[in-house]
Amino acid sequence: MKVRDCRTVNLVVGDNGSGKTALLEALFLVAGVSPELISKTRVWRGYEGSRFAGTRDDIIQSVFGDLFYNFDLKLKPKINLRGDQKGETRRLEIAYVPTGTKRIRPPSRDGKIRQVAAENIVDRLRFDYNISNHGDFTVVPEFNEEQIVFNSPSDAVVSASFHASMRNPSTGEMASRFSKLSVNFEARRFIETFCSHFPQVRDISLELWGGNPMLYAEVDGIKDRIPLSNISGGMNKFASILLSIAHQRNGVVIIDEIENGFYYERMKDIWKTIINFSNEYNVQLFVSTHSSECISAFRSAIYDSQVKDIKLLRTVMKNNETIVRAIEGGSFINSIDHNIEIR
Amino acid sequence: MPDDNFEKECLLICEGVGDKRFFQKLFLSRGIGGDIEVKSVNENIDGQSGGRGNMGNYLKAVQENENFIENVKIIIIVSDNDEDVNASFLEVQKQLRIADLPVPENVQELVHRRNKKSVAVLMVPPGQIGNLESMCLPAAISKWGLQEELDEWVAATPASTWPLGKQAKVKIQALISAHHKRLPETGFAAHWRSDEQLCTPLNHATFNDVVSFLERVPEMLGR
Repeated sequence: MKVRDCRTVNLVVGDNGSGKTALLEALFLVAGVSPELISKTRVWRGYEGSRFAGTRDDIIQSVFGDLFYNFDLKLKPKINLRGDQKGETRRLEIAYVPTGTKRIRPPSRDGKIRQVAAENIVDRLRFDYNISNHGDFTVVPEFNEEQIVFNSPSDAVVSASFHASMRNPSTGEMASRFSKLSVNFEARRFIETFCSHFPQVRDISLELWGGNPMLYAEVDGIKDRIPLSNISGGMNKFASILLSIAHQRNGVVIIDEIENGFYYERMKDIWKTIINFSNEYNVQLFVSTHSSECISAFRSAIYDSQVKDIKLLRTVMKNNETIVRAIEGGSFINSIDHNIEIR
Repeated sequence: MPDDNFEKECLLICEGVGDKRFFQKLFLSRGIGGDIEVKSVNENIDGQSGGRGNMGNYLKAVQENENFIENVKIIIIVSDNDEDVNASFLEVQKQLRIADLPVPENVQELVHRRNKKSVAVLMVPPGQIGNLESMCLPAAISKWGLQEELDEWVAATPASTWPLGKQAKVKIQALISAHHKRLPETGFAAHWRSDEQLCTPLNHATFNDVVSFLERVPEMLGR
């Protein structure tokens, strides 16, 4: 699968099982430098449990098998990214080396053939990264007391956040991001933007809830501040997206099924703000949706001058392969304006 | 809901909803068009007119639909000759260029281009000035008569100086209205949805050239 010339805002559509989420997860995986992100995406897809039992082979097949085409561990997945800033490239190749023996032939100085030695290899998975300006490095997941441990030797991460469709935003992560904005005197911008959408919320602050930091809101008609997540899942999600964008300056924010949790009439304004915020913080967006209403709202939120900065990526399953049809902003908008289905 | 109905291998696109209903009725009447989906320009946009001048952008829009990409092999553009056969065909060619589609040099010629759908253009009435209404008028008069009366009446109105195609619209409108006792306001586009006895008869020879062309569609599709 190849996707070329991504834009500032990339809307991802396609049928169930056509590869939308896989595309977004692949982007997220290679943006980081640790396969630990796989554990995160597994949880977002509904897999539970962080302790594993069985042979290494069983665990590798269960936990990592779906990274491989048709679950065939012999077919190495490769993900390549090429950026347009400083020509940065990133490559991740995943390889499974099965249990076996490797023949070692000692070097011969006199031309005589010596006994061939054998080295036992325990099956293992390798994540080989190549990142321009950082070089090559390999991460091998280790199995330690029924847990998988990842050691990443590099910090060459792309600033990227992933909003999964079925996951509530992490209150701790939101608190941490808010705190960073607050330290840099940028929290007010976030608060004002948020409150302009939801005027019943007068202010947002960081408080402790049972000893844990959490965003609280001052709400009309309620005498005490209450956790933001108690007011509305949609509000909490919106706050989480804005905080991600502000946090990932010059990076990437990935949002799977953005429409979930938002009232349809709010979608246009939500889109406007998300697009404005992403421009302000120079953040590239990859956003998937199933919703026709959401696409119409997106179109209403776009100014003519922004059309060149958007792209539609439609994943299509064809002959058991995922392909991506890329539609430029002008054609995308024209099709919406003619009420032609483009999902 | 956005239009996703591009299931057939041949897509016939005409200027307006009246033309669309005519072709749908013609297919039923003549037992043809099984492979043909009929659409009209801007039919999915409330309050937006169709017309030849909007074909290019409409054609660009439909080309992004996944069902169109997967299913459609041939596009047939239908347009009126109006007062100038050549100028009207040139305008259709211009719209095809806007849509980045193959451009036929001649009417009813099927042209192909790599990675694009094949295209043919059907101008109506074939080889004559006029429009769909002027093509339908002989059929309507064969059913309801009144040719002389219509000619005399138009001659007595401001329409007497209008082009023949526009006069034909006036005449057929009058005939349809005069035979729709329950709803005299019924227009040309709407009358194709009326009962058979209130419709312009589609077995008339005036439609034979159009039917002959459309009967070639299976052959164009390689059947």
